[in-house]
Amino acid sequence: MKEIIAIIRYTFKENIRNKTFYVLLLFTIILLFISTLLSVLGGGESIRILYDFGLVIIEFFALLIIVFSGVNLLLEEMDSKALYLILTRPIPKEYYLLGRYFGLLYSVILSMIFMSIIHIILLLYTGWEPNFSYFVSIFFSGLKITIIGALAVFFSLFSTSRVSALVFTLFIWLLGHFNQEIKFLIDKISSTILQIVMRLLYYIIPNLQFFNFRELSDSGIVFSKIILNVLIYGISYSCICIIFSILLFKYKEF
Amino acid sequence: MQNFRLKNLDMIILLTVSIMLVNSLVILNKNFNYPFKLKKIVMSKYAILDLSSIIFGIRKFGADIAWIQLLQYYGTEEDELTGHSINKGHTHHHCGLEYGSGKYYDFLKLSKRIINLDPYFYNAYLYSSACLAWNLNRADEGLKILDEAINNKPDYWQFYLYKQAIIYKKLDKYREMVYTLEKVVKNTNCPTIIKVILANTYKKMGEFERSLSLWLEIYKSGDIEYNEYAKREINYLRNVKKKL
Repeated sequence: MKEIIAIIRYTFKENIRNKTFYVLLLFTIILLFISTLLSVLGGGESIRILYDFGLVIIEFFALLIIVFSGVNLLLEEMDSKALYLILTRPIPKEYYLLGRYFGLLYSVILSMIFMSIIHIILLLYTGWEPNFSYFVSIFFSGLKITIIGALAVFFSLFSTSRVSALVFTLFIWLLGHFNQEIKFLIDKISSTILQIVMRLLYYIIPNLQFFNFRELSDSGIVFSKIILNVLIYGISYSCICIIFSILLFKYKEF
Repeated sequence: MQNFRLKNLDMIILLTVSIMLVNSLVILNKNFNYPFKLKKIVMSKYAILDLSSIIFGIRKFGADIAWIQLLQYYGTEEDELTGHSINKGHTHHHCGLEYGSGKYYDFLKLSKRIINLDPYFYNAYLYSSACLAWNLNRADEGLKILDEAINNKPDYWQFYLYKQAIIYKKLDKYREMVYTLEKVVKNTNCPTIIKVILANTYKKMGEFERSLSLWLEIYKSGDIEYNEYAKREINYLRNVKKKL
């Protein structure tokens, strides 16, 4: 456990010292302020616009950070040969990977919290009345990011290049949000083979719409009925990706 | 031996997590009713933007952009939209009882675009139906929007009230319409456009006192869009009151 915590600390420090991380964070904060100006154009709906824009901006930038850092998490160390130095120590490979993943997650979640605080301040300034659904939305965005981070690590070990890992992860992000539409399209397809392929896709790809509380909050869905299963789904999906990553990493020859 | 045990442990963990995942997915598939439906793209001009909002899972964000575009469209002089030269004798967009009047042919399409992206954007229904019915004199289109609203959210009582007011307007039953609108404006979520419509109706009916108090309320609300207009109307109504 000590080893994992040490690697988490090391990854966290590495991330927050990264210039790209700061640039992305700064860019998000600037965008949050710009959305305040944009909300003025929304007439009577300025608070709604600032609220929605802010949540989307926070999620997207967290996604960018986790995808770019997740893909580079191990590949960079492999390229720079720093990994060999670490693995010569008595640290099991799975501890190393877990530490790296949780360290990355820790820094991204912290940056999300930081961005949310700025967003809340801006919202309060415009007269928003705080509600619980804001925090639930941020929490589920965080869970989405956890899954995508695990997938990014998995693809970085699975694919041959950085670019392909990046493309795979972003593609899964898109399909994950389009999953419900895939389900709808399955019934419309006449070809049985295509139907089977689509159904398989539907079950394999993470259904990110389950976590889209930001979008679903007004629709009258009784979230309390499904919240526990959404949590289990998110955590277990990330766990499976990490287990597969560990297996790949364990048997990878350097 | 140790290696073998580790492999077994890996498999046990993987199996347990897989069972948890499948179990939660089965339950979610049963209990999760996705509230958005795939609908036809209303305006091909914005197809890429609308599709992107759906694929990226940011329907509300897309609806907000569409809302801003609707406001900009409705806030632009019709001459500018059609590209014709400005006719000085033509009804001006933002003045007096003709407030918001004109043709604005794309208004319904732009409104439908918003509600197709986010069927739970209640104020978009209210605003669009009110503008269509009272400002643009297309009560039937306003009713169409409200029918869709009621279909999507049958328990949102304000839709029924708006529908009632528009039907009264269609039947030229102005007293009943005013009575219904008075009930509507009492609601805190009421869009300012409804207050403007009621204030103008009061003015039309010669009830200057009531019109003035409503304009004062609009002015105090601080809505930038109606600030100047409210100021003008307040001055005008105060002058009328003095003359009387």
